[in-house]
Amino acid sequence: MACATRLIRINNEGKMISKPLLSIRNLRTYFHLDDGILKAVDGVDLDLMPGQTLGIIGESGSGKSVTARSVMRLIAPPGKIEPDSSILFQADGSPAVEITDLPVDSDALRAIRGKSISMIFQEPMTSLSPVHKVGRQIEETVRLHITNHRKEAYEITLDSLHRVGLPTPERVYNSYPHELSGGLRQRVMIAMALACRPAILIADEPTTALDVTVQWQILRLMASLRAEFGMSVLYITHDLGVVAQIADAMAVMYLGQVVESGSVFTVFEKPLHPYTQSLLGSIPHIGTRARGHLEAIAGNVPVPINLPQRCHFADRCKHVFKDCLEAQPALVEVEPGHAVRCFLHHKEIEHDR
Amino acid sequence: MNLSKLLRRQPAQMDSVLALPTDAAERYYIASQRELIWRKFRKHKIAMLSSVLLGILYLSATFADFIAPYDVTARTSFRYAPGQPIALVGSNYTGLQVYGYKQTNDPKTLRTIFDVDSTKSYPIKFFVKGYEYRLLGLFPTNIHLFGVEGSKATIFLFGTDELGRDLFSRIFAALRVSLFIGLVGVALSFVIGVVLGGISGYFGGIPDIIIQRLIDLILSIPTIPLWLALSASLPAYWPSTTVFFGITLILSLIGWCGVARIVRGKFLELREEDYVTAAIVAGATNRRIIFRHLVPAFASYLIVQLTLSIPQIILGETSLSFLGLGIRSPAVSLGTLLEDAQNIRVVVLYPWLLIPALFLILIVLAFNFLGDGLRDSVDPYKQ
Amino acid sequence: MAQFVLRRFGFIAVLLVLVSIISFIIIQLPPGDWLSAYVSALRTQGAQVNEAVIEGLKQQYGLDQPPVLQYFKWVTNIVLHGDFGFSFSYGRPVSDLLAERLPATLFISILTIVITYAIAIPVGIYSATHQYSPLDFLFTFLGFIGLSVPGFLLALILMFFAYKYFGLSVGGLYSSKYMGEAMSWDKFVDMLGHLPIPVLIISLSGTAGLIRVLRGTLLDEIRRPYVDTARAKGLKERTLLWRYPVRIALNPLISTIGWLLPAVFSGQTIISIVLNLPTVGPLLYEALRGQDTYLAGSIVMILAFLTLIGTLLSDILLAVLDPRIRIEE
Repeated sequence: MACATRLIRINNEGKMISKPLLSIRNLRTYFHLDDGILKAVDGVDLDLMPGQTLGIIGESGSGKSVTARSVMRLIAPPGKIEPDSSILFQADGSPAVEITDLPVDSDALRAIRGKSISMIFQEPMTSLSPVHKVGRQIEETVRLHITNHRKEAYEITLDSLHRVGLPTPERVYNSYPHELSGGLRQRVMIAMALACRPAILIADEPTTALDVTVQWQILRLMASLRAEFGMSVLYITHDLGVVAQIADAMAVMYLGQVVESGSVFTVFEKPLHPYTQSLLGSIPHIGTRARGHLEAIAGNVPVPINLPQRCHFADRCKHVFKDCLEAQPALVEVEPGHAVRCFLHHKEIEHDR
Repeated sequence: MNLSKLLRRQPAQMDSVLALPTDAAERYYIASQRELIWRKFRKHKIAMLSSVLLGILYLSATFADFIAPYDVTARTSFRYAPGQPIALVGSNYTGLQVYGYKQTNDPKTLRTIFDVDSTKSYPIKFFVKGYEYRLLGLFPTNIHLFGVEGSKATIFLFGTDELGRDLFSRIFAALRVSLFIGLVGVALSFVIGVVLGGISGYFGGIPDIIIQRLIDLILSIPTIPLWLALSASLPAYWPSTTVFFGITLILSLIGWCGVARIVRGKFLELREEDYVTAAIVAGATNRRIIFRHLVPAFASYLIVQLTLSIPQIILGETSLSFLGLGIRSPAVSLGTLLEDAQNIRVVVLYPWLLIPALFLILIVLAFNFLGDGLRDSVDPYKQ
Repeated sequence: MAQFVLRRFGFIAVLLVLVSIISFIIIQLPPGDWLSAYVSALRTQGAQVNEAVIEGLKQQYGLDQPPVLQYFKWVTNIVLHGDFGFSFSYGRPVSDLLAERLPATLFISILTIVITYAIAIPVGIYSATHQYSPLDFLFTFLGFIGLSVPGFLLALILMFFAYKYFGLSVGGLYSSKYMGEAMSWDKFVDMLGHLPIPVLIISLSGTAGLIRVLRGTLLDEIRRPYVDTARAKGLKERTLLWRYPVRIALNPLISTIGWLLPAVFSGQTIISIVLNLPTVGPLLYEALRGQDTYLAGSIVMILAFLTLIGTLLSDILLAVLDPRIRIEE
């Protein structure tokens, strides 16, 4: 685990940056069910650098959304962030805040939500209140965090609607969610999330529910807004193409754990974990002649309840060997800025030594 | 909380946990619909208990004559006598027995007053001979479940009414009317509702508009006044069985509206579903689409609604009969029994007249719990 | 919006006409016409019957004409002269009797609805936000009882206990000393003292139903994504609860206030009969038992009219509160 702490501290130019904006250590979010403990997130370590976009990729059931929601403390019972988990937020020039220590519904937590860290959700339709004008819903955030002055808040709201590429902000301000298309609604959500100029934007599959063409518009918008505001983005998705397009670094999650992480370039060029390799193998490539089948990963993602102490991917892995069935591999940095949770590569390191 | 419940409760939160089948989850996903319903329903302790209770009540209503020691209309000289307690140990002998009465005369009103006398008792006998009746309306017999023998012996477990009729026997006879009016009424509502709702939802257009307006119209008239008005107009010369069916018809006149709305709504909703489109494209006939694809999709939902409307019909009948505008003599229902309890001064003197109310509350409560349990069970995938 | 209201108005107007037809059918249902019944009743009492008066009544209500014409005559009389017909058991115009009883009927109904909401909303919100707490269980249990014990039975049981243990006779709206007196301040205050029990009984089943609906809807709403959005904004839990899920769950509840009316009138009718309240309920009951057809039909019609108007008002309210409705219509 120790190695993991130095993992993703490389931005896209490859320079080392000393202080992460958000530092997640040993995050464990469990759901305490009658059937047993569901370990949705089980020991995740991540670092988000200033100005960086970190893509978290995984299938359904990998725990990527629960990770994102844990940062916002949006975990409802029976879910619980376990003791010893750490989510450290350190904004420029202010003291570090341990988010997991903040009481629910405390002033300190609310000061971070929406102001320092904001979030965009997957379903733009259901994520907006159907009976309030969208402008009012954005303005609410502004009045909570920036100014209580009505007129000023209104101006800021219009400005943020304008920034997300809406040509007639006044009209959108006075609309209800059902009067807007999916793409427009997601733009409204982005405007809401960015209205208070947060240091971190968490995007939980923001384009999944949208048409493909609209998806790319929204992605481009987010990329340009990131450049404009200089914020960091934690981008949750199951779409490798999206990660390739907008992320600097990426972490691949499987059953509540990070199995491989590194810069997007490294991971795409040289995937080490068999799971990552299969994921990349399942993407069709335009231009290459289709010979045979697209590669599919055998088996299904198990429910992370009462899993045995061994490599969680062992059942689906082509390279499984004795060690995999006896112990759980740790996430180990196999080369600078590239870590993998797999005995195959741990062996190699040992051989090298 | 278990996994399936969590998946239903927090879909947004649980997206990442919405894992595909294995193990516990797999058993959950591959179980048949009926199995899932039954599994969930069994967990509803109160609903289970209610269904057992209702089963017993319906059974005893079916065999009311067998259970009742006295004929419904049989008058005795024991007027307003309190219930005779059952005892195992009496002053004379040991064994199942009921205490007798001692009679006194009220010096002012000169009325005969009956009090329980524990020095007297009559042994309870099983399968005794009593009044003649037809078991299930078919087999003439005079055997009753229990009773007492001897010309002076009486067994009024719940006491008697103004005319000295046995309240226990009358309650079981009343259960037959009250319980079955609920079933018949719901069956009628069901048939009318499914047919009209189906027409409305499947064909749309003018029939739909007419049926919808009709429903709006009926629902806009307050129920009780409408029921009262309609049942008051049933001719006085009608025999009591005809009145029974008349009342049932009146009660289901309103019940079908709810059914029709559900059926129509579901039809409209399901018509858009892909599997229905697929069936249409595959060239299935209207009838096949309706009965193979549409009806099964909401049958369980409808059953729940019907279960919950049975107590409404029972209460409707009771209200009408209570006001003297429902079931007519010689038939009795829980409502007509309660009619005797209308005068509060009488009830205070003879509180056992309220026993039918206990049965009524028990029945309605049981149906509500049962319906509630069914509702929670029929849709295992969502709330 | 204006178009929506207009369309609803048109729709209600059609229903009003249909309701009046049904009411007229109720008037016509019993065998024989009411006038002959009236005359024979008078004769058995040994009263002198003036043939001219009979003839006049026959003319006035068009009794010698076919039912369709009679219906139009009846409706025209109502619309033009406020004349609902004649009650032979009271020997007075129906409109007089209605005028006496309607204010109390409306007053009790509105009070019932107010009480229903005043109890159901806080209890429902509490139950949903404190799901499975002891009080939630208690409310759920009481709710089941409320739904299962019919009002008339509850009235009966209450009367029983009040009489047996306190020697009180619950029933009526006025103390005996105010009987037959004109409405005065003292009488009004006296009536307020009599109101709580009947109003609570009438509102019981409605309240129980409403609590269940509100609890269920609110539990659904609390889990919706927009609540997380609001939470992620940094809103206080209490603020966001009231501003989003509660507001959205209450919308249909408040705007369907008119839909409570049929149930309220129903419950009130039967409970008024049991408790002998001066509403139209006992009047209807007497009218039906005595085949006083114009009176019975008119009461049914008036109650249905009031229901329809209530529904219309609440439809408009719903459209104001929930922007989605206007689009769907």
